[in-house]
Amino acid sequence: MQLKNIEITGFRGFKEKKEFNLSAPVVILFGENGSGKSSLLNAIEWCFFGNKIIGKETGIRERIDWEVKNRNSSECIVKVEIEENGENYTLERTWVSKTKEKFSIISSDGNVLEYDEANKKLNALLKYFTFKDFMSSVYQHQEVIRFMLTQEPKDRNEAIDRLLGLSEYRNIIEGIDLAKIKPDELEQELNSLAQQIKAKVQFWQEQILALENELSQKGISYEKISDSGINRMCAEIKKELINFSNVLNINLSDVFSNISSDDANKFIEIGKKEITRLRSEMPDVKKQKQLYEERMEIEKNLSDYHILKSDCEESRKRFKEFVEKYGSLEQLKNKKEEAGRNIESKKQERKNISQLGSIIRDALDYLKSEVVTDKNKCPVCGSKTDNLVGHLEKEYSERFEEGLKKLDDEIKNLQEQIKDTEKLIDEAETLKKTYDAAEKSFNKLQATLRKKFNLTERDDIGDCLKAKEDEINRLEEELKKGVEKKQAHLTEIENKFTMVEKLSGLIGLKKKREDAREVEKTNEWLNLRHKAEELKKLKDILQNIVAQVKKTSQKDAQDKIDSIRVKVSENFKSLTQHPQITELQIEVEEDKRTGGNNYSFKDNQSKYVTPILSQGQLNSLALSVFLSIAETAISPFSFLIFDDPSQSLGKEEKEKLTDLLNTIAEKKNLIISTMDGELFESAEKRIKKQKTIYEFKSWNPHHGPEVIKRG
Amino acid sequence: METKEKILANLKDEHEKKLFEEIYNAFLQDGGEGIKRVVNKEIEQIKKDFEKIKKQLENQMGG
Repeated sequence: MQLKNIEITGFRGFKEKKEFNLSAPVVILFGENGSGKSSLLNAIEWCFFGNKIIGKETGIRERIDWEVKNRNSSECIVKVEIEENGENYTLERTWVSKTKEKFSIISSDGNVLEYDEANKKLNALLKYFTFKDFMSSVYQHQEVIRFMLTQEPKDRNEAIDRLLGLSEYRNIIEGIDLAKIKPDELEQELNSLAQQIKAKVQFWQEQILALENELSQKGISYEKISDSGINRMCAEIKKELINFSNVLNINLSDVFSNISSDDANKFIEIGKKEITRLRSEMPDVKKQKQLYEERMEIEKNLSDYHILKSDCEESRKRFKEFVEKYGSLEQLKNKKEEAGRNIESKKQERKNISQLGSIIRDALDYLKSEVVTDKNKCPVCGSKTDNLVGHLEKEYSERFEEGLKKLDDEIKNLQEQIKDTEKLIDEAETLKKTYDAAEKSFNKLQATLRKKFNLTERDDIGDCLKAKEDEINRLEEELKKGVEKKQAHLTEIENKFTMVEKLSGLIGLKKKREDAREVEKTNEWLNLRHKAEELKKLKDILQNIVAQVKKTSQKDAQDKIDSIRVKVSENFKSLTQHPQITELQIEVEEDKRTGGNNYSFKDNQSKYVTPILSQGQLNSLALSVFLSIAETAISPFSFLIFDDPSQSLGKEEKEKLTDLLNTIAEKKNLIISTMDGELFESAEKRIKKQKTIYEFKSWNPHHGPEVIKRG
Repeated sequence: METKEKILANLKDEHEKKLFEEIYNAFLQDGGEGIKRVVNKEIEQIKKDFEKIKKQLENQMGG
């Protein structure tokens, strides 16, 4: 199968549509790291194998969470044109989601195959060559060489496994390891269950002893009791209850009447409920209830009567005592009015004295003035008196100032008297209101009770109600004796139910105890043990599968190494010259730590060579293995892909590599991707076949790479 | 011979062969997670049967 052309839109590093002619015998992709070269190579494998090229299962760590679709593109389509047996086909793969793609094949005559038909045709074109085969014998991934260069035995072994197409074995083993099986889990649960049952047996044993002890103390024989004995006892109790219900003249419920005494537990449960019903529905009990309600009503009325009567008498007494002490309300009001009138009279008297005193004051002021020459002559009557001013001042002081003070004190006293009287009036009015209200309530109650109990005005309500209460008490006392006797009979029957219940419980507990003791002999228990064993066996089966996967992987590795051993040694010697290595031996054995394959490369003296190999020589070793497989494999592809094959190689080794590629180009087309200027120049010069060169540069997320075609 | 056939050829027991075929088919479909799902399904089935029998036994013994 020849590659002719590829058209890429929105795949990985390609945003915009780009087309590449791949029909030349040698196609070289040259450009700096991250310029989109590997995206082109990935697009080829994705178009052939779809989403199988993504994920951990590929054996390439970088492919975990790999994004196929370019983030800035609305679509992702890769079209690869191939030629097979002179026919041209266009394979077209469109990305839909991580788990879904659309695939079609268009023949040169325009016939379009889709879905299952397209996949069937692809398998035929690939001759059932798998992605795993493609990875090991067509496409040299740069990651494989990187792993070879790590010097970590685990990574190197993994890389060689991949080169040999054996990653699948490793991935199956890892997948089985993912399911963490605990083989003893059910065995432990079974043991725990046995302990729980043992504890239950102990618990039931204690309950049995307690019940037996209780029955013994009551003098009940329990040793020979059986289920049929319990049923007979139930039948007798039923008969007794039927007879007694006839005495009581009450019909038994349908539920109880219809229940069979064979089902002891149900019978006891319903029987006890029936007794509770009979207790409350006996006619005497109903009468008792009625009398009790009547008595309660009378006691309440009597209590209300005495309370209101007492309130009324108390408020009347308090009002009477007040009147006796401070006078009636009318008297207090008169007293207040009289004090008011006295105040007005005193105020008038004060006014009169005050006017006369004012005249004398004016006369004194006049006599003291400078206009008066004769200070002893009275300016009012004209009579003469020695020291007239002195006399007048003494008289003014004695008659007017002291008189006015006396009147002011009297007025103040009268005002105090009015305030005190007003307080007493308020108190009297409150007492009167309280008394009136109590009397009203009491009268109302009396009227109600007289009507209710049909009493006349002459009947004493308290005495009449007391007499009625006494009568009810007497009737209740009479009923009580009969009811007690009937209730005692019901209690007797109820106790029989309880006794049967205990005996039945004892039988049940003994049965449970015996069943639990024998549990390990039951089929269920044996089945549980079988399931616990099955889980252990599953672990053994999985371990055996893993062991066989490892064994097969090792055998497969051995066969593959045997088939390429000579070729690897030749290729290695062509690529690099090491003075100590004249012959390269490859051995496969089990890696004791991981159980996987461990590859040893030794010289002709059986000494390990990898510890003395440089990075470039390790790279050459990886290329030797890949080229040996690629050359020997039966592949439908007539091309090989090399992605960054010159990592860590020296200039001389690169020239040897291009010489080797030149030889291979005689048989197969080559697509070589490199960022290495020396390898590029060497390939341009030393590979003789016709070449198409694509130079990649200026990659940016909005447009993808800029590509210049040469040759 | 393919990987699956090569491993099957080394397995003797029929149950082992059947389980491996299930494991391998799940691996082709969903990788390691597919294998985990198949193995866990086997484990869960045994546990489910165990629980069912245990419940029967508990019911027989009156809880």
